[in-house]
Amino acid sequence: MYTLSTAAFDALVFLAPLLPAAVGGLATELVGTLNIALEGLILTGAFVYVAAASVAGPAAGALMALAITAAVSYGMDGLSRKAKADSFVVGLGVNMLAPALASILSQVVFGTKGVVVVAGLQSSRVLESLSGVPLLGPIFGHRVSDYLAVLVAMLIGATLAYTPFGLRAKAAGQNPEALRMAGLDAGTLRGAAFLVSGLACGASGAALAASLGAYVPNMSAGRGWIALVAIYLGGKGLFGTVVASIFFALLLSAASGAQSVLSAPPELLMALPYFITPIVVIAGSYGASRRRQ
Amino acid sequence: MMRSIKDTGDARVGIRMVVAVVTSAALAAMAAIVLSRQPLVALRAFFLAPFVSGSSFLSMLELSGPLALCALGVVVTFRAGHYSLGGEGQAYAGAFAAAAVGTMTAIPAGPMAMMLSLAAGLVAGGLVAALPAAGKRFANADVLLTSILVSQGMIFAIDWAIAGPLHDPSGNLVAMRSIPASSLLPRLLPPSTLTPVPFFTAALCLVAAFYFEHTRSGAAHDLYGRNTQFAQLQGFNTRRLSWLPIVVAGSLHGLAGAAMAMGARGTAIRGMSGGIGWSAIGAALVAGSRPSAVPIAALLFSWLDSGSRQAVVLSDLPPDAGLAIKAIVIIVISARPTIAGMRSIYVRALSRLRDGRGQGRP
Repeated sequence: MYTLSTAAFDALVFLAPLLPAAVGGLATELVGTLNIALEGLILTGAFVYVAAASVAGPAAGALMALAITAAVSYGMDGLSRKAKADSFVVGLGVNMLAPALASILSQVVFGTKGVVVVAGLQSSRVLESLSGVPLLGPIFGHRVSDYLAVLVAMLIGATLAYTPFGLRAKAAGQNPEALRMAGLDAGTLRGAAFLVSGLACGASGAALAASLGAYVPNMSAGRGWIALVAIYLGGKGLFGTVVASIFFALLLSAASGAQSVLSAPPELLMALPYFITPIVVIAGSYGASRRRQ
Repeated sequence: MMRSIKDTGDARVGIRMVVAVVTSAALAAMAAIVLSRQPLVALRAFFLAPFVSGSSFLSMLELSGPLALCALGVVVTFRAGHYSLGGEGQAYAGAFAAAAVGTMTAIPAGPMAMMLSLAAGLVAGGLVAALPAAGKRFANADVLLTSILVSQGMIFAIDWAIAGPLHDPSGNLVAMRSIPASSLLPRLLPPSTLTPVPFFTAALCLVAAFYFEHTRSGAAHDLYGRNTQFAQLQGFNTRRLSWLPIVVAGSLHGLAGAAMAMGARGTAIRGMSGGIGWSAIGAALVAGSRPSAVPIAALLFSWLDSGSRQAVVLSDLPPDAGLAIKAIVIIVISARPTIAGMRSIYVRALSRLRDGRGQGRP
């Protein structure tokens, strides 16, 4: 039976890979250059997790996913800054390259460009006995990888909110000249922000793959784009981004839950969040423009 | 967010083209050597097969037609400073609408059905772009986000329609019923799949080039993309420019989708857009956002598509090699290293090397 508790539990499942990507993406938005490649980086993280974990185990797989995705993201920013490449175009290129490269490597490493299932990679559930606790029950019984992904998001969020890096990142985005006068390099901060966003996407991808114990082509399924929308909808602030991510997780959970309740086709139900979200974005932008007036 | 790609309409289009061709060729060669156990066969298939016969070259030319239409749409939006990324869903909607109209029994098969199908594709693409355009016009909502979301939603919805209520169970593909042959676009030189689409698109690109370079509206369009406030101060109708280019681009993508459905495919097939929206952005960038260079850039990308398809069939090259090459080409052409910049990197590296040696001396 589909209950409110089930919906809340599912929402947290959707939130775990979404939140790190959104908070990590926010770091780049704060420095003034939004990392548009979140979608591709999540997919990279998922593939690297499965590929590395199949050889060295889940923990090493997760660390590799974080490291490689962070390196790719940092490299993207380096290319933009050093070779004067447009960061928007580089991001689009990475979004195109990630699924293609994952498919090629999947064919080479696993002999298939389809679903890759490796035994023992699925993250286990913890605290299942507490899932019956009233009200708080839905936050228990999730996979370890989901908790770790949320922890990564919280750490990045705390870094942005309470450390000098967060303050400097905001200064880099709002007034790079003042930052330069203070003897700090806006480029270095931008690189660090991209590194953080890559790391976050690695956590998102690893959580996604670890929840299934498999790599599925295009398994990021638009989460990177939704994370970008969450940043915008959240007013480019940390609290707003987290709230917007929770809103999207609830929306995706509702669409998924409706499949078990309604007889409507799954494709149409999965399409719903993608139609509702732009309407919410437009309504939010309309409200903001009215307030400005 | 960076707002510099609209400034790519400069005189360096030739250099971009050369860089794109050289990068593509080098990557294709590398892919064949590294990924294939029959590198020579893969290389020959990639580089020569699309040109080996008149028919395969003309089919490659045909492939470039819809891609060029989409790329022209990208140029129209980018030059207005709008970052519409919804081309994929718009093209898919165009193909779906064209196939739906083309297979309607109420419309007699023939040229009239063909024109109506093309019009349906045009309108469908424009309609998919209408929500992001309205969002921009009335709420200044970010087109990048709204367009990609609507596009993704459309892809899900059309996937359902093609596999569900409009599925033709008699075929092997997940596709709609076939459009009657007399309603399809005419084939100019059978057995190749060439239709008038590439020539029509080339003419449209020339018209667009004239619009941008020689008309007041085109200048306003460009100025709006570079500096909205300045365009406003000059008395241009900026309200119209805030939404119209997005809808026009949507319509061009829709028309491209219709051309695909009414060309070699003969109907709408699930997933048939196959990344055309993303490739179109790459082609537009290679063309430096210049409409006159769009057909050539589209031809380069369709060569990559044809070459990789041939290499997959004739050798063991992975099917996604072409897509990966396209993605790398997009990244490479976006880079603009200056000679001064490269010299400074060289000088710094040299001085580091000297310092290192100096420190190592007793």
